[in-house]
Amino acid sequence: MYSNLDIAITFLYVLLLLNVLFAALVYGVKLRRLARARAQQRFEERARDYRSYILVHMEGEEPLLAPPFTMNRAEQEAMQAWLNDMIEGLSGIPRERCIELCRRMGRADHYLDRLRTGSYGARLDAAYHLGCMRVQEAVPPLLQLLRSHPRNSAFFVIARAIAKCARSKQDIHEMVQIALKHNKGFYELLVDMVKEADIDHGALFAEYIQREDKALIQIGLCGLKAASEPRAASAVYRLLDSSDSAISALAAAIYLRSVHFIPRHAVHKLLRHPLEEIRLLAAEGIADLKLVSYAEALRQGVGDDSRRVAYASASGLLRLGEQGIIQLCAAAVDASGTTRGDELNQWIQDELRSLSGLQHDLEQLSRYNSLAYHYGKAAGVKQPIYRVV
Amino acid sequence: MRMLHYYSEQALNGLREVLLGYGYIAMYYALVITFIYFLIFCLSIRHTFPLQRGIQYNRIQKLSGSEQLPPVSILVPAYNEELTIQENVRSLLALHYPEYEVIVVNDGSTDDTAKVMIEHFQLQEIRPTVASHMKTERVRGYYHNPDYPNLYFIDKENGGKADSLNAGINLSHYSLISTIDADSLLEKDALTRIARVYMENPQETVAVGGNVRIVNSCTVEDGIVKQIRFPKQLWPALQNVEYMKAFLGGRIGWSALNGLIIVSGAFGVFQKDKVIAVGGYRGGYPGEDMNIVIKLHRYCLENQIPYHVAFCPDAVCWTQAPDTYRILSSQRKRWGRGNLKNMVEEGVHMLFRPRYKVFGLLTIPYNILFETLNPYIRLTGLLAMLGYWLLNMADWKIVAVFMLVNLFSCFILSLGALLIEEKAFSRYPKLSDLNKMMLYSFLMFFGYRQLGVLWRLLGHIDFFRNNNSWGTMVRTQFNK
Amino acid sequence: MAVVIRNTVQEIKLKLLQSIHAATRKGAAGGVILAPCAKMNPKQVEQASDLLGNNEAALSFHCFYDTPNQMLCAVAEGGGLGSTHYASLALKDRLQQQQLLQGQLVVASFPESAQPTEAMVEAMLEQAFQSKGKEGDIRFFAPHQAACSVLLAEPDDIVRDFIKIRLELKGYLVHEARDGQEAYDAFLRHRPDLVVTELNLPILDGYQLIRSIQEQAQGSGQVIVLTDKLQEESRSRAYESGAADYVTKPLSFAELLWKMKRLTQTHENMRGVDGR
Repeated sequence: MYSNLDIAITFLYVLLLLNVLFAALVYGVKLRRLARARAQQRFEERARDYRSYILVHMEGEEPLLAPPFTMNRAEQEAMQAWLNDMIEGLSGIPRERCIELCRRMGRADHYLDRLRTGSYGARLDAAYHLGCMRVQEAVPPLLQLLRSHPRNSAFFVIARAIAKCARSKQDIHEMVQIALKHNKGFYELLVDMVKEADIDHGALFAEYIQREDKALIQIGLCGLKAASEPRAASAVYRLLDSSDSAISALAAAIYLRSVHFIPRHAVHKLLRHPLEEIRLLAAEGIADLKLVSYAEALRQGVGDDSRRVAYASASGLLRLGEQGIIQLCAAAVDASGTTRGDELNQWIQDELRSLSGLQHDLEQLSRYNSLAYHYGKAAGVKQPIYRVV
Repeated sequence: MRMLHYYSEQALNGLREVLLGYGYIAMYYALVITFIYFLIFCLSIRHTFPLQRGIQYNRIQKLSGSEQLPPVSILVPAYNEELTIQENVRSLLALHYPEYEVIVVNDGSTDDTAKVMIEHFQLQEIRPTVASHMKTERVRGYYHNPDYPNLYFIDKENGGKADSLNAGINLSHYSLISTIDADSLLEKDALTRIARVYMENPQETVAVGGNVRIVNSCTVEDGIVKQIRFPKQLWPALQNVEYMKAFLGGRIGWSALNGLIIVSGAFGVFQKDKVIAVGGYRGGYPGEDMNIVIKLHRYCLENQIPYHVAFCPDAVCWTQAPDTYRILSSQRKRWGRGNLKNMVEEGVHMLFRPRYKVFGLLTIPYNILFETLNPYIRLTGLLAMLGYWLLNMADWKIVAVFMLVNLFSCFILSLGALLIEEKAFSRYPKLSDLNKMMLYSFLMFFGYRQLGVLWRLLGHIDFFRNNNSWGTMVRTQFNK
Repeated sequence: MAVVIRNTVQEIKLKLLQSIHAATRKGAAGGVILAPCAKMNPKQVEQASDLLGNNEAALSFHCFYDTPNQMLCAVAEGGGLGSTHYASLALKDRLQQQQLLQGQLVVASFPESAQPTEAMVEAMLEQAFQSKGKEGDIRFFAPHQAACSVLLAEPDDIVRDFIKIRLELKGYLVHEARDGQEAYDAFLRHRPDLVVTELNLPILDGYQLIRSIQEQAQGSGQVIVLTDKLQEESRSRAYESGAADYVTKPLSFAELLWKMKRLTQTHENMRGVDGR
């Protein structure tokens, strides 16, 4: 036991030493950070005039000139960070001027060097800055870096840098191909990166939709999510039948958002689609576009297995004016006795009740009257009708 | 007489053998626990660098405006929050995030929480289609105001926090849900930061936990933390270093192994379909935040779904820590009770079974042996020490060395957590804050940890007694 | 005594005007820097001249120091506003180091800033004299008064600085605000002609700010939204709250300026029509 004690005491001393070292390390990190902050504060003061020079003349014809004072490494990084913010936050001529300035200051070359020869941390740092500065020559080495990089947060930093520096669709496509090899479904993030590129993303996404590769199709659909031109509608139409539920759901959403009128065959396809989500969107879409001619088709939706689709169809019918209301009341009466029928009747009565509280609004009042009349006729129950006085 | 002497001698020797054996067991126990601690902390430190890079090289502000961010339903269960609910909901409605909704669930408050909400936001009753994924207590009404299109209010009979969350899930319209405590202060970009982690692997990331920091003594204005200060009072200060150690030193490492057992109830984001698949939140007992994560692990491992429970330490949620002994002890007893219940209900099924990979082979055993059973080990350890003293076995030097080794190996872990904090986040601006953190990290071992063990034990006693109250939590204002 | 002072001002004015005409004679621009300085000897003036010439702007400056008015004047041939401003950075630094600077530098380029007339030169000198005793940034000489006042609500420091400086150069009077509440208070206090605001404001968000402004201005408040929210819903919601126009980030200053001009013009026309 005695020797054990000696070992234990030695161990204790080692441990104590480690503790002291670690504590020193922590203090070191903190003190360095504080010193840096102070130096940065001082630099801000010094550079303020230069910064207002940049801000004032960003749109002029004269090229921006490098700072008239020398800067140490930390100050250069601070200036670079500020220029990055400028480039990212502005567009058009001011951005170009800032990019030009960075080149003139030799920053592009500096980071291109670090990208080639630095440590891993330096290379990643260089990738980020080259991306911010939109240095097009950096694309080939960045692609190379991306190819051999494991999939983690830094991977996406490099991919985003490539997108920002991209010279053409080809660069973007290569980046996307490398990223998709990891097969992890981060399509939204890729789309966000592609949107930072200086290319026609609409065209690129439209192209991707035409491909066979499911991943590319999904990327294209994510990218066109906010699209609302009829052209997009025709492009995604064929994807409504896709075997992949994610693809068909996205396609349906885009389709319904982009059309101004849904042809009959499309309505049938959508309302009978195996996916609940799509039937729901279709019901809402018909109501949004006020396509009264499809009131009968929508009536089928009221009997849907999914309660959400049924409810959406019912409220859709309510919004389709007289025809819709007639269909809805007929459906409710036909289905009476079943749970769905009870629900429908309950919904109609809820709607009547809430509408009856809105008599001051002429539109709601006429809707109330219409619903009350038709429901009363279909159900054989007299409902009170309000008249405008 | 000589027989008695002989037998007593034998008995004492036997006892000495037992105590010696116990001594060895205790030593191995301490070695294993220290080894696992070190492993986790080393992982945490190693992951600090990629983490820091992820934070440094991602332009979060720009991402906050992107259309590609996934829509999130924020669920806010509220019980007797009339003083602060209005301010907090306002703050939640002003997050820098493109598409999200805030669903406030009134858990049958006995004060004017519902009235304050309805009056202040001029909410009107609506009849939405609500899913019925989980059964909850009766909902008295759903409220909404088109002027605040992102806000929904559910007035429900009392059923507990888990029940409220389930009701919120039933109403929610999006596929990601986020649970937030009504009194927590979410940073404006916290949701974006978590969304970024989620988007890097959207199919597999089933849950992401945020970092919970203590807001006591910080200056809060209009729902924003303006000045960050280390807590002045004793209890919050101790909790602060404790949280830092657990979150930064522990959770980063556990998440790297995919063995993270808990996502803080104060702020976490989940995939809604998985939560529904495991039956939603388990009500009626504290610890539902650990429970849901354990169930998620279990579900994904049993169904062989590739998954990851992640931790995002730069997404910060500020919360008020209990500042009196009474409230703190009540909270820790509750945690102890919940922990035990979770282990008994779920943990034992996964213990040491290879089917459950890291979670079953490392996390659960670690949790059971070193968190749940810890009080008993310490208790027996204390008795053993007593025995050593009585039987004159103790060589004080050994005991002292043992305790010092224990102390300093734990302290170095606190230093590890402080290193991560200073390297990657550095939220406390002053040097004096660091001094205080060092001091309290050290002081933690002289009473606070021991109290923690005591509270856990009392929590276990409550469990066995089937005591199921929520204890006391007095609502106080910020800036204390 | 008053007569004497006016004479010395007259002297410096004429001398300056002469230099400017000499510089712009060949149709080039004439850059002018005025620096209120303490006593400078000829050697220091020559140093200043060298310094101004020896930087990347590559302009050749002709400097003279007016002792009675204590003003250092530097005129460059071919100096556009940009390069003149750039040169003045180094000058300010040196003068501060030598502790000679007594006020704020005023920079101009003729004819870019204004026509090189006697009145303009006098105004510029006036601005330089008035800055004596003050410390701070380099000022620009801008002859036209504030045509229009704008309230700018923007939490991002960089974008706010950028817009503020550019608008001030274009002759607008800019009030800044960093959050919604500050913006609303500033609106009530200054009653600006135009408001440019972000949607993501702390405390009071953009939509609420717009609504409150419209309530105060009885529906005729002019608000342009400048934001990084790109969704359709945000746009329509902004218009519903009462915004007049919508500009997205990354910012194109030209677009913002054009929309602001259009708004103030239609407002002027409407006012004219109503005769209010």
